[in-house]
Formats: sequence, structure tokens, C-alpha cells
Amino acid sequence: MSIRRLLLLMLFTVGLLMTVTTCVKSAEPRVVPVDAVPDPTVTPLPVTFPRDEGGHETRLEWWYHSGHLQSESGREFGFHFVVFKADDGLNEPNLVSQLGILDVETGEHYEFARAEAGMRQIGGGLMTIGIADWVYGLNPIEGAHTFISKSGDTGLSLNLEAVAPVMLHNKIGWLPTELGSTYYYSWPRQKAVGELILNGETFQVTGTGWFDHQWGDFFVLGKPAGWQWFAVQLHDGGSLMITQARGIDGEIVETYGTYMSPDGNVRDLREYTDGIELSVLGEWTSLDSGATYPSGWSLSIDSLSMELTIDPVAKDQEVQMGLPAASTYWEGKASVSGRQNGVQLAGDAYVELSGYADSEPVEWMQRR
Amino acid sequence: MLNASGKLIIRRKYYVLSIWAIVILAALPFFPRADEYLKPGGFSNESFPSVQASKVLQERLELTTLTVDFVFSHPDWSPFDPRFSGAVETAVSGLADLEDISDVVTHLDDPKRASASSNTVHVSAGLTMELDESLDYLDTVIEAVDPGPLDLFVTGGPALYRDISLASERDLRRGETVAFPVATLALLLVFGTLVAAILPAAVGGGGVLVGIAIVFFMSQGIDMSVFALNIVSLLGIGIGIDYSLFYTSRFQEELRKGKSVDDAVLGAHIHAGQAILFSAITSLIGLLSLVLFDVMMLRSVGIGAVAVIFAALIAALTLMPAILAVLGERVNRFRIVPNWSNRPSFWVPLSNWVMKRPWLVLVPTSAVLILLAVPALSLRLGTVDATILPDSLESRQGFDVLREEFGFALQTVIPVVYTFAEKDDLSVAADPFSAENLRRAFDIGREFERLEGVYGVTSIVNLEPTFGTDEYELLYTHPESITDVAAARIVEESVRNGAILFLVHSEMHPFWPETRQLVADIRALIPPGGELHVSGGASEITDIIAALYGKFPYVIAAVLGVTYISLMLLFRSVLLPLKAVLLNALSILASYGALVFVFQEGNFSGVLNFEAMGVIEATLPILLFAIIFGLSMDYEIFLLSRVAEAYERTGDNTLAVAEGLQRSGLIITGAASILIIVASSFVLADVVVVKAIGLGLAIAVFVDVTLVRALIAPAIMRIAGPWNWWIPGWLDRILPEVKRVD
Repeated sequence: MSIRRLLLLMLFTVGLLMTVTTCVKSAEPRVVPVDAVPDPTVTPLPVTFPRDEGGHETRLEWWYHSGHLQSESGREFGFHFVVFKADDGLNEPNLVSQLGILDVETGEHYEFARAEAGMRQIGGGLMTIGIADWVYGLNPIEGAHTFISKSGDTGLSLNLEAVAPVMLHNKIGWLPTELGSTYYYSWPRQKAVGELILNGETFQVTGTGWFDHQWGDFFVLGKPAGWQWFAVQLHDGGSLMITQARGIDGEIVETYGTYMSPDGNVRDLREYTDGIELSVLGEWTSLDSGATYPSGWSLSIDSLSMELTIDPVAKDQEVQMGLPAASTYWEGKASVSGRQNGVQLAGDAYVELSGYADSEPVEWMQRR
Repeated sequence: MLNASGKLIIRRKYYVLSIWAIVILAALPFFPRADEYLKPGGFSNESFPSVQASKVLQERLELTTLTVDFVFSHPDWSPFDPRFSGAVETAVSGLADLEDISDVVTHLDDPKRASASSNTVHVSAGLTMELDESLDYLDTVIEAVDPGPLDLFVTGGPALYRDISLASERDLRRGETVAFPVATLALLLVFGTLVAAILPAAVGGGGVLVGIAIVFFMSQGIDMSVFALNIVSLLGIGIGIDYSLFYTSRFQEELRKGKSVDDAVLGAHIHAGQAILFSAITSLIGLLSLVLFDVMMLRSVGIGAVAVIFAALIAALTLMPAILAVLGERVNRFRIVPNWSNRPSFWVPLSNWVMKRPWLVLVPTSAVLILLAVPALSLRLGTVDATILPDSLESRQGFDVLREEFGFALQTVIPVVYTFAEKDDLSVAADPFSAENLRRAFDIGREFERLEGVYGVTSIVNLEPTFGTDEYELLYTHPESITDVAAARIVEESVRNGAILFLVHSEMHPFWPETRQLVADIRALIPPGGELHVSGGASEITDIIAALYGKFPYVIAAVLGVTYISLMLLFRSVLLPLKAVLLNALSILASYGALVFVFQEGNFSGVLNFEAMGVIEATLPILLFAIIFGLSMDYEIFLLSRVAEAYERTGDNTLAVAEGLQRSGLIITGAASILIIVASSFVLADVVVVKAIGLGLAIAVFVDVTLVRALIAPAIMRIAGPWNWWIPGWLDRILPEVKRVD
């Protein structure tokens, strides 16, 4: 009897030890299956407001403001404020924010940058985030934004409110690219009110802003790929966005745009169907990056009977701060003159030139 | 043999004492230098696939998993405030001059290293050396960093490892400091006289001194881990005192019978000496089993323990009789505690009570023992992180900030290198961006994503789920033109000629068994045209546990088998050794159960001041098995030898069991109390693993001397009756004769 009990105890002991020692099942060797397929591309969703004003869980997203400001005394400035969000899906997203200011009177261009890891919500509205000591907010009203960006004795704080309808690009606000796709819409005219501090001098400013919002699982490549982008605010109330995109080997792959007439009608523009022609009139080489950028353009759009000349207000409006060398770009205030249907036109523009600066070489590939 | 050696020692007692004096004096200078040649760590092994994979990672991708981590913070400046960023750049600028630093990554290189919720930044400096070397190099690295206006914590592998070593050593030294006075006090209670009480501590201490000196010399020829030293000395103290205690008490007993001093010494030498000899053999069997493991730390404990037990045995069998022969009756001088032997013993009514109701004792006590062991069924082996350190240490504070602000060490990242060509091969076959290699890598990356427990993979072909090989080919036409910061970083760091790195992310803790399953699943994959090398902490833990527990069942079987045979030889019985072995195993399982209940599940974490580990450190069960098995067997042999002695004299099993219990009860309880008190003092240790060793030991010994030795063992022996002493005739004939002396 006692032996049976002892045997039971022994079995219990052996069982327990077996449990302890068999925590991990040995896995059978197996060959990695070939010809794996990627996830299918999802059908684009309609852009919806105010939902889509805020952040999205996509690889890349940016909120971009540019515009033209005047002080109470009539002094003119250009500005460019952007928040980039890069999200690899595994870590907190990286945020980089840049501020560019052009003092038209002196031709001086200022640039500043901040960075942050994670969407640090610091206030209400649709989204109010901190990027280091800067603040970017999306107000609950559609097309209404705020930013506060100050760096030392210079800074710009603006409230922006849409005064024209939204502009969905490519008709539905979604564009396929060579490497992924992006949602893209603009508020082409925003009333801007705020305060500019330049070298310690404070100006109360008003003006007109242009807002772009893009998000999607897509990749932006640097030189030789890139683009020329134009956000034109005509004095007759019309607004025009034109983009000329270059592909992976630098060849022009697409020229397209969107036009909003003074009465708010939006029209999609294509290179061949609408007869878009963009010519570069001059060049400027940056002493900082060594990049040579186009400088001055003529733009004609047959379907709009429009011919425009676009001239940069200052040559040096290059933006380098806060991003790798491959992302160095030119973002500048420009003046616009021309004709439409024989009637003279004038306006202001912001121009973006990307993919002109040389990238840093990949160190290990250099050694190869 | 014992008879002859006993007589010789009594005759030459002053020679023996002189020799011991010389040996102890010679050993003395080496005692404080014992750790001079000991190596840090010792848990890993060069032959582990994970260690080989780490080498591949370093050689092929110039990446190291060994980093010194700096946590910079400022009360007011945010991480990207130019003042903060500037201060960080200045602080780490000195690291560029150090030859063994592979790279320094700040939040300016990788914005994820800036906290989203506080003004904190994580900077790491990669080291191109082994962990062992890095411990000495750490000070050079720390001196090169001047935090200026920033607050700084230094943490990371080398800092944590050094603090764990230092804190463990401090804890164990503290335990040793407590051990001798406490042991002497307990001995005073057992013997009642000052001389008898000091004697075992002195002889035990002499044995440890010599044993540690042996370790000093052995460590110059054999790789031994510094972790072994204190465990070995603790074990030496425990076992050395046990032997001396048993010897002294037997000497006193012989004196009480009216024998002369020389006869009393001889009697003690023959009776206690035989029990000590067999007890040492079984302890040595248990501890020698550690030598079979491919883990240097366990091997070191095994080798070191053999040295100290051997020294303790020789001290007990030579020094002790010589001293007792000189001291004679003076062993009972300076009585401080009243004489226990004149009072009615507690063990007499207890043994009588157990003898009358063996079933009533056996069933509930066995149930309690099994109940104690049940939590061991949910034992989860793993390894420990910095949370085993007290939060007063800088490396732990830095680790806590990294964990809270950046999720450090809460999730697992398994680096897997896919090699498909030699690194100096410049042909298209070695180009990681070739269509063929991208396609192969894409297949591997997608397969990793499908494995259970994986929530993401980082590699050049796992950037965007909707991308196929066409898109990746396009993306890498001009790899330098990628503007996406994360992707550009991957191109810079995760590919080289003939090698592509995948980082497999899992939300499971690096030390969970499920994570080891994931490592096994990855290792099982056979990639097209190349090899996979699985590196990182989870992989190394997988190897360590495989090295430990692949052999553990065999080691258990071998130890139990050899012990069984040794006891069978000593007691000429089939059942008694079986009982002894099984009850020892149950004591050990009860201690495992307690470890799981307390340290894995976190019960009493408030009282004992620790953070639940969620797992039990992988070497603990094996260490405890080896130590407890030896100790429990000591007690078992002390008990059984007295029972056997009485049985041989009376032929009455019940009487023999009762007498054995009565005669050994106080000694076993005294010896065990010393160990329980010493082991319990480790519960106050700063390092959680040391707490766990202490608690595990204390519980196992407590269970062993109360439930097992005082109740279950006598009850089983009472029930078994004459079967206790049964041995088949054929077996008796073939077994070599081990003469039991009366």
C-alpha cells in the first residue's frame, strides 16, 4: 500500500519535472514559401470633413501652410509653415515642423525647425499638438487652423480661416504615385491674422494663406525624382494648383493641377487634355546645398486660356533645417502676372521645388 | 578505514592540528583574492547559435547589441530645444575619440529617442567588445561624457551587469557576515556550551577558507564565474557547520555514555564520520551534476562547491577529531544555555505520536507538501532584467526611465540576419538591392510577419504592406535618394553586401516562454539561397534555457539514480533509498512552488519589497536542486544512520524509527535552523534573485526538517515496517559490502 502511494508520488514528481522542461516545443524545419504577395491596395475612401483634417495612421502625412502677409504699415512678408509626420507603424510617429519667413523688404529668408516623437496632444479642437515648443492646432470649424512657432527673437503665430471652398485634387482628393498613393486636398484661400516677430520687432499681420493636407502610404524620393509645385492665388479670386512630378530617373511623369474659379467651381487639369505647359525661365544655385533650382517660370493652360509668368520674390528661399539632405527643398514666395481670356491677371504664389539637392551618399555603399 | 584513520588522528592530534594551522595560514592570503581570476557573467556560451549570430551581426552589419545607454533630461528644456540638443551633442562629443565605440545615436539621428511626454532623451553608444570586457571599459565611457547642464543616468548592458554583480556580491557578503554570528548563536542553543558552539563554526569556517583558496587556484586554469563564489561559500558554511555539528554532538553523546575522550572521539569518528562521508558523497553527486551543464556559471558553482565540500569533509574528518581529542571534556565548558539532554526531549513524544498514527500523519502532511508544490506546475522559466536591482542604483533608475518613456525592454525585438553571399563579393549575387535578392528577402519578411506573436517586421522589404517586389525594386533604384527617415536609416544600417537584417517585433516580453517559441519558429525557417542567424536577448535566453533544461531531466535522473545506489549500499535496502530520493524531490518541488507563488506571481511583493519577475530566473531551479538535494540528503542520512544503527541493535523497526528520530531530531533541527536563518537573511537582499535563492533555500530546508524529516519520513518507515530493510538476496550478494559499524 505504501509502495503504491510512493509510486504515485514518484509519478507526480516526474510529471512536474516534465512540465518544467517542455515549455518550448521544438519547431519542425520548413522552407520559406516563395512568391509571397503584398496586401491588396485598398479602394480610396471619400475625403470627409472635419474627420480628415486631423491625423491619419499612414506612413506619411503633412499639413502645409503658405501665404502672403502684410503688416499694419504695409510691410510684406511671405510665410511657410509645415508639419510633417512620418510613421513606420511600429514606433511613435516622428514629427518635424518647419517655419520659413521671407521679409520682402530686405529679401532676407529665415528658416527654423522643430522635431518631436509622437503626437503629443496638448489642447482641444480637432487636434492640437506640440512639436517641441511649437503648437499646431486644427480648429473644430472646417478649414480653420492655428499655429504658434517662435524661435529666439523670431516667430510667427497665425489664425487661419477658410474663405473659399475646399479643393479636392484629382477630383476625389486622392492620387496614385509611383510608390503608393496619397490623399490630397487644399484650402486655397484662408484669411490669416496673427503676429510676426522678426529679430525682436513685432508686427501685427493679416493676409491670405494656402493650406495643403496630404496623407497616405507613399514614399517621396529625392533627386533625381521630385517635383515643381505652384499654389497660385490670383487677385481676381481664382486659385490654381499645378504640379509637375518627376519619376525615379528624373523624367517628367506627370503634370496636373486643379483650378478653382472666383465663384468656387473646381476643375481638374491634366497635361494633355488641358494643354498645360510649364517652362523654366532661369536658374539659381544655392551656396549652402549646391543645388541648382529653376527660378522663374512661364505657365500656360490652354483649357483655361491662361498664360502666366511666375517670378520668385527672392532667389534664396531654400529650406534645409530639420530634414535630411535628400529632402532639402526650395519653398518660396513668388509674384504672378499674365492674362486669361485676354484679360490681365496678377497674383501671388508659393512655389515648391523638390528633388534638386544631392543626397548624402549611403556610407556602406560608398565603401563598396 | 574510519577506525584506522580515527586512531591515527587521535594519536597524532598535534601533528594534524599543526598541519591544519599551516594550511589555514597558507590559505588565508588567498581568501580575499578569491575573485581575482573569476569572470563576470558566465550564463552564455560561445557555441550558442545566438552568440554566433551576434558575431554575424557585428561582422556583416557592423552592428552591436551591446550598448551603454545615457538618459539625459532637463527640467525646462524640451528635447529639440537647441539648448538641449546642443548640450547633448557636447556631452557625447568625447565618445568619438574612443576606439571601441562603434556608433553614437542621439535623438537628433533618431527622433524616437526623444520622449513624447517629458524632457528626456535616450542616447546610446555601441561597443565593439564582449560584455565581459565592457565592464572594465565602462568607466572610460562614462568619463568621456560630460552632461553639463543636463541630468544624466547611465544604464545599458554593461552598467546593469556591473551593478547586478556588485549588488549580488554585497548581498551575499552581507549574508555571510550574518551567517557566522547567527550560526554560532544557534549552535549555542543546540549545545548549550560556548566551546562546543564555537567549534563547528570554526571548523566549518576553516573548511570554507581552504575551499575558497582552492577555488582561487582553480579559477586560474578553468573559466569560473564570479556569481559562483558567494553561493559556494554560503554552501560551504552550511554544509561545513552541518558536518561539525553532527560530529561534535556525537562526541558529546559518546562522552555521556562514560567513554574516555579518545574512545568518544573514535566513536564519533566511526559513526558520525560514516554518515558525514556518505552525506558528502551524495552532496557531491548533486553538485557535480552542475559540471555537466554548458553554462559556465553553473559549472563554476559545481566545481567550487566540490572544492568547499571536499575541504569541509576533510576538515570534519581530520581537524575536528584532532581538536576534540585535545579539548576532551572541555568541550562542555562555559555553559550558557541549560543542558537540553537532561530535559525530556520534544522528539520522544513526537516520535511516539507519529509511530502510533502513521497514516494520520502521512496523508495530511503529504497533501500539504503536494499543495506547496502545485504552483510549480505553472513555473515559467526566463531570465531577469534590471528590475531585480534596487531602485536606488543609477543603472536601474535609468532603465526605469527608458522603460516608462520609451517602452524599453517591455517588448521584444529579434534581430535576424539573412546572409546570402560573402561580404567582399561585389557581384550582383551579393547586391541586397538586386531583383532576385529583394524577392527572396520579401518572401522571408512576409513569412516572419505571419509567425505567431509577431506584430511587425522592420527591414528593407517590410516598409509598406501593399508594396510588392516591383515597388521595392523601384524604391531602391537610387537608395540614397530615399527621403523617408526610417527607410533611409534601414538602408544605412540594415543591409550590406550579402546580408540583410530583419528586426522581428513582438509584443511579448523578451523573457516569456512564448517568445522563446517564436525564436524556435524563426530558427526553423529555411531561407532560399542563404542562412538565417537569429540574434538578440530572446535568442540568447532560448539558448541558455535549452542548454540548462535540455540536460536537466538527465541530470536529475543521474543524480537520483546514483544517490539511490549510494544509499542502497549504505543501508542495504531497496525502499529506504527510494523514499529518501522521492522525499528530497518533494522538498525541492515545494521550494519551486513557493518561488513561483512569491517571485513569479508577485505574492508578498509588498512585504518582501520586490517587483514580480513574471518568470523564475532559469538557473534558480537547477541551483536550488543541486544545493537542496545535497542538504536534504545530509539530514536524511543523519536520520537514517541513527535509525539503522538502532535497528541493527534492536531488530525492532518501530523502536528504531522512534529512536532515530529522537537522537537526530535536535541535531537536524539545529543544523537546519542555522541554514534557515542564514538563508532567510537573504530575503533582505537588494537583488531579487538573491532574495529568491534565500527564500527558496529557507522554505525547502524548513519543509524538509519539519514535514519531511519529522513527520513524513518516520510515518512512511513505520508503515513500511520490515519492508524498510528488505533487499532481494541476489542484489545483496552482488552489491559491494559497505560495513556499517556499531
